[in-house]
Amino acid sequence: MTATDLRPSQTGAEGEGVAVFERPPALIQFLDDTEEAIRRRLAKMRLFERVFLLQRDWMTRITMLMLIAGLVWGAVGGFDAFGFQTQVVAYATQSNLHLSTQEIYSSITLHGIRELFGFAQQVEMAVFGLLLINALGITPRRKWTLYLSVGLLNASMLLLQGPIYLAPFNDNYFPAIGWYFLSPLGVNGSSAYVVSPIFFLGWIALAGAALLWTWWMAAHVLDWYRQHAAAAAGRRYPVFLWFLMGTLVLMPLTYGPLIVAAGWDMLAAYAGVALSPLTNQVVFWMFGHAIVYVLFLLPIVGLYVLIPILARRPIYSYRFAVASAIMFVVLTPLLGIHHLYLTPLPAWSSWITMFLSFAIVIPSAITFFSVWMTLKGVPGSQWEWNAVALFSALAFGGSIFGGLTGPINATIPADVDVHNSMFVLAHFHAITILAIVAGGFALLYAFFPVLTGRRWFSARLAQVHFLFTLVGGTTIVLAMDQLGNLGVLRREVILPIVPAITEYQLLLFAGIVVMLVGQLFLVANGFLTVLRGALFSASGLSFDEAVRLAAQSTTPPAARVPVHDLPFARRAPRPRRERAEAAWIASVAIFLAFAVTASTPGAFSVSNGISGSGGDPANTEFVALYGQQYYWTATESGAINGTFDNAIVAYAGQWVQLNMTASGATQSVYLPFREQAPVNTQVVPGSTSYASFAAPTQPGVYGAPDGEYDGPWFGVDVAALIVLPVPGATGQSLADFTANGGAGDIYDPPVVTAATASLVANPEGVFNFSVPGPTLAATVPGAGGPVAFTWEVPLSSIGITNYLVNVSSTAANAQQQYVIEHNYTLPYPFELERIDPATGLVGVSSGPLRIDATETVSATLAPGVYLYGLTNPVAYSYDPSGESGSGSGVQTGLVMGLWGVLWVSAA
Amino acid sequence: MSPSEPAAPSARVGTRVGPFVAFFAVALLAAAGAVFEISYWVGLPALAPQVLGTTIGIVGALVAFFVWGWWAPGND
Repeated sequence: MTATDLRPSQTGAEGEGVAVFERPPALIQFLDDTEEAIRRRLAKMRLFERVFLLQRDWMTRITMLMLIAGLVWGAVGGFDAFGFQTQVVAYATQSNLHLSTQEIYSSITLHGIRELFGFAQQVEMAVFGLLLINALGITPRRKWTLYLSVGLLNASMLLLQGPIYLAPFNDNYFPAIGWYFLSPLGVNGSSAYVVSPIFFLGWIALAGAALLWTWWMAAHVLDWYRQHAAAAAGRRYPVFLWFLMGTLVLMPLTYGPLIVAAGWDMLAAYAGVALSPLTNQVVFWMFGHAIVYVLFLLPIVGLYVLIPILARRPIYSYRFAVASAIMFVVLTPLLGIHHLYLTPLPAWSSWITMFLSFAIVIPSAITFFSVWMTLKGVPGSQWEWNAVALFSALAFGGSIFGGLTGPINATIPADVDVHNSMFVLAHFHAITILAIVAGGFALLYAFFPVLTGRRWFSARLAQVHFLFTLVGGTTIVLAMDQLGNLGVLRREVILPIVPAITEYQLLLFAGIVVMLVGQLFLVANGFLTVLRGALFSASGLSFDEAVRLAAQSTTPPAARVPVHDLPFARRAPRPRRERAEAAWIASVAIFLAFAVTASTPGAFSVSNGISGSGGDPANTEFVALYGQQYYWTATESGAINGTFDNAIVAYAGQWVQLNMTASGATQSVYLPFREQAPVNTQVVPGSTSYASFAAPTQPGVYGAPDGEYDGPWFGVDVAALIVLPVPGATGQSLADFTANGGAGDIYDPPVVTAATASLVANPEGVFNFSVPGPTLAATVPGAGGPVAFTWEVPLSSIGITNYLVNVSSTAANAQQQYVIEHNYTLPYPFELERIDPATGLVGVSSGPLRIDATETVSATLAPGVYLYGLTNPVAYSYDPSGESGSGSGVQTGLVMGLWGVLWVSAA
Repeated sequence: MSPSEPAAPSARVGTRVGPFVAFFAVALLAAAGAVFEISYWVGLPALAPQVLGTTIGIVGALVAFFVWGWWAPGND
């Protein structure tokens, strides 16, 4: 045995001052030796040595590794959003998309995964680990547990991306099925969105990483407790330490459900175990919601750590702050169902969740009041607007902005208006960008110099970074808010071409660009700091002074203030301060109670309406809607009878009762009215959902998009509510529908004159960038008359992203070649069918789907409403390289996009 | 500059408003932004009933936040 074989025991009684040496396990020895060999080799390169802090202790090295990996995933996730939004803007400006629907879908899904877990969670784990070790004043141990956690987390990011084929390069077989687990998605025999098992392994690995880290943290707390048990009781610990402890409780409560949901899905997909999709979603959202609060603890901890340090005085009300930490932990795991308000869950469960969702405002109210009041009395001469202070202020404001839109989402009757819309996304991004990211940056600017031993290189770069983050982040949130208010769904590319939507999408894109550019200043400053930054020394300084000194390097010299601690003696006694805080909290509780009470009747009305039907008036139109993943089949009885694909037909003002089921994928019916109450109901496989509403009194064609995230054709699967004029009624013209804006439903297809219309299919297989296609208006004598219109599917619109041609080939233009070889004709009939209220669709004419020719449909028609185009869905399979399969993923489906309504009015 | 040589406060620094007022302004801006977005729904007669109770609750709590914050004793 040599001296190098000996090292302090991992479980030795160091705390008792007795060093016990023993041989480490062979595996640990091997890992240590390997790491040391790699470290020495890399350390010879100055860039690596400086950037990865290779001459420092292992805890510092791993923390730095996590921060760098976090920023890398943050950058990749940022470019995912950038890539997605380029396609949204391209579509909005009627340009060709350069990404496939598969890639677009991948981008937005992986954007969320990478930002939330690869970036935010990793940074949180890094910072919280650093804070815990320093706060407890103990020597870090269990290096390889932490390494394993970090390795698993980053490996999970790769696994969640799914298989990547290098030759020919293809990363389109991403396996993300969104936030709703169910594999395979799709309808047996007609559509499928099968994910790779790698996807589920990614979730399991992510959960493993989080739980390992939790164990690593908890083990240090236990170590510390064993060493300080006698003195532990009755001590007052920093508030942030309470939140760190809370995080350790929340992690298993968050990731446990993820393991159950993902494991259940895997067993269902690969072992045939029965799965209840609705129950699985409830379990999944116990993770899906709680993780946001776990990440929200990053700015909360940041504010509780930094504001007292910057203010040079303790937190305003310690006991309230501790109560806030406890309430966060108790309430956070209980809120998942508020993501499922529009599913047929029992009304009482939705109402309780609404109540609890309002209740969690209380700990936030305590926190932000306490943080603000901690600053009351701090003179301006003692306050420095360094980057730490600036980002803390942003996290404070962002939390308030995001927090205030939360209760709207949490209100069940209001959720009908905003569910799955960009409004929800605005709330979420206010929290993530303006609170979580800002709080993370505040901590980063405070502790990076402590970690690296170097002061920030440039105060100016830090301040510019803040400015860009503020402007970019705020622009993103406000643009999303406005889009949501218009009724725009999230994760959509194929959107209505409406000026207001296009303007806000462009604004959103600009915000993303500003945000991304802004982060370059942070990266540049980080590199310059580790390579050329002045040495940072905390020698002779208290912890608070060291942090203030670190923060000071992000302030221009002229605006700096001394970093030294100042004597502080409180004048306002604790009872007075706590009385003020109690008064504030009581006020909040009263207003929240009012909000819950006022929303309760509406909440039960919505929930009960989704869970059951009944009380339908006479002359109700009964519609059995069956979800086929990318389209609906509607079977109607009542004043109108028949079966329609993607269309619900009713008379103006008629009461409509939807009875909805689905298999294979969760769908929703969303009619984003603004002049009357919207219709918004989720349909989960295995459950029946209901919706009752009065059809608009204005006849016309109303867009009804599927608001769920059930595969890459999201955005094409828009059905229509076709409202017919009441027979014999007057004043119900299509012109009035257009003039009235279709009850505010932005998804209404545009109305154009049939005779002059130019229907041209785009590369997404829809006419004139609209789903359904434009509503063609024609006028004939009362007894009928000739109607004609033209349409064209250009050869140039045919490609890998167009569902009309299924050719698996990597060759350029293989799909177009297929069309040429088949005499420019595809095997789908272009129909003209009349809606007959007595029997359903009645064929008028039918012709081949000719490609690259201007076709004319001409017929003598009676006044009435007709469907044109491919009025039945088309079978599609995405498989450009022949790599589809259970290991890679499968994407097939019945898609219906090249159709519309012909509206023939009597002169 | 070493830690033992802290920067002297400049004259400009000495005349700045305190952080309490600055954070007040930040909170006010954030609250105004959120209320502006929510007000869209209140402005639609057909949809207002669904959000009115919550909106009143939010606005009431905000007023309480600023009133109690201004009234409460300082942290000194």
